[in-house]
Amino acid sequence: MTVEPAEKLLAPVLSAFWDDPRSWTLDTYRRHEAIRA
Amino acid sequence: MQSEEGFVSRTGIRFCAELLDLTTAEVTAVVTFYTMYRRKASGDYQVGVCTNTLCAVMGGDAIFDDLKQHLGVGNDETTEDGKVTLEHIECNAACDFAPVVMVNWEFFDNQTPQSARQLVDDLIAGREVAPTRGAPLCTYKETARILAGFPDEREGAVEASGGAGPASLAGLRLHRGESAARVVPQRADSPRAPRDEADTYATPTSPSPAEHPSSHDAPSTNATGTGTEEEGE
Repeated sequence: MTVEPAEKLLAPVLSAFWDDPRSWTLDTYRRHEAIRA
Repeated sequence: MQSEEGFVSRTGIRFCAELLDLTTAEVTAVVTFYTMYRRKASGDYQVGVCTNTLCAVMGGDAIFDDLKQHLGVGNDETTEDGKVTLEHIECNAACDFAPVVMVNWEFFDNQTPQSARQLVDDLIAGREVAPTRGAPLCTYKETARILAGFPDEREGAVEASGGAGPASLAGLRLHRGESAARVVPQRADSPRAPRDEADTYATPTSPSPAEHPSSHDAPSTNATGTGTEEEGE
């Protein structure tokens, strides 16, 4: 049995695009399909 | 209501009830439920110390006790000059920068009793203070207006200090292989890993991670503000 290192086991979801230059904008959310409204 | 009067008065409650065709009891129920509504006149600056669990153990309780003594006021009380209202606040989702103090709902990260005392001294003396992240500080009434959904009209205010801070991106960088995995030391005297972005978020009233460890580091004796940085560097 192999043990995955922690950084592979836990893939960021909510924070996946937090390092985008303008991460807080609606445009960024839409580009990552984080919001469909 | 808060952006006009600075708090929600009984007159304000009646005004809302009439405007919205509700009873004053219904409006009062909303006002008393949400902790961000004030129900009495307060200071120009709301100094909120997060004392929810993580911030509390990381030093929030110590900061709150220290500010109570320093300002001579209790929870939800205002200094005699009308400048500062001290309050316990609830979690503001900045646990990775604990312990957090908020002034008019702007973030002051990684605080210590000393830095928080300096912060309130600056506010009382009218010296400009800069939040660690987010928009520049404005008055409580202006903040209330923005929080009510009106746009922040100040040029460039929203993007003033960029996006997420390094502590919030640690997991993402680790996942991308952009930073080396390391085990958080369990003992206060364990050596610490070097910090890359140490000075990124330093402001006069918010020490950078170089001066104050974030919550990614094991709790050490820093809760009382005694520096431990020299141990690992």
